[in-house]
Amino acid sequence: MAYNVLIVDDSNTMRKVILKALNLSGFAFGDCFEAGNGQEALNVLESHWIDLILTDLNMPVMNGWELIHHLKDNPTYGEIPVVLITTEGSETRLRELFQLGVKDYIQKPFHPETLRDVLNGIMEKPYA
Amino acid sequence: MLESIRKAAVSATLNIFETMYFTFLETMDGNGTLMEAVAEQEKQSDRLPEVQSPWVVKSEIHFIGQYSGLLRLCLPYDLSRTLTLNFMGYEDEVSESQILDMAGEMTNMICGNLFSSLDKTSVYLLSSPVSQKISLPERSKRIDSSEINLGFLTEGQLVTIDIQLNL
Repeated sequence: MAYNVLIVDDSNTMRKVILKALNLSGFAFGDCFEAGNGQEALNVLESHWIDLILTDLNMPVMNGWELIHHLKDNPTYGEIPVVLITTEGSETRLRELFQLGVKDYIQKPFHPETLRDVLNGIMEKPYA
Repeated sequence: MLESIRKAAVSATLNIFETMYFTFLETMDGNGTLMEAVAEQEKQSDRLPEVQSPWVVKSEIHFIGQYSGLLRLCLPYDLSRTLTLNFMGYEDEVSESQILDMAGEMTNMICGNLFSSLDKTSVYLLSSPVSQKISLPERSKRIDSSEINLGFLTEGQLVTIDIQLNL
């Protein structure tokens, strides 16, 4: 099964790097969509089927925290697995994000193998 | 305190360059050596303008937390172009906006990793990085005033990081 992925990051180059890492990782994905902030991500979700969201935290307009809150409050999108790809490493903040329903996180810098292992683990049981 | 930040910054920088940019850095020790290297690079760029671009990509990020201040990264423009190609996996050309974006992302990664490695429980707020192209002499003017100055070499090109702390 190939999953549709949404990459949310305000850095255009980082979105391309994450897409490159997805290609290198061997993770089975179908269509890949991009958004530069949380609001753009919500716009993509309105018009496309998304199975998995990879998001940064620090972004203008609508940051990752706000996006995660919006997703959690929306019955249509609330079950989509969310993985953070971020420089954030504070255990305190990550604990709060996991309580909001974030499935996992990958700290930048990362290897494609890390991305594959995390995503395969989540998509085997995405709603656990 | 300064020494622990310095060590964490060196470790984060080496790791990020290796993991995301496939580039190995050599660490330079001591501010004196660093200033000499900066001066030497300026001289070389005067003598060999066709070999080495006289431009530098500067990227700055503000951080607020247990420690607050500013982290500034400076990369030779030619090296920035190579790093952007490595980062994005491209083989031909990259635009200036992609180079500046890459430098901002690198600065963000260095700052985030530096402070999370110092204390896993601390929470830091990071600003959006701001990147711009500056001249070599402009870089050397800015280095003196910072509490922590770091220098790295790769293939004869000098990478500098300076950290200003609000003490």
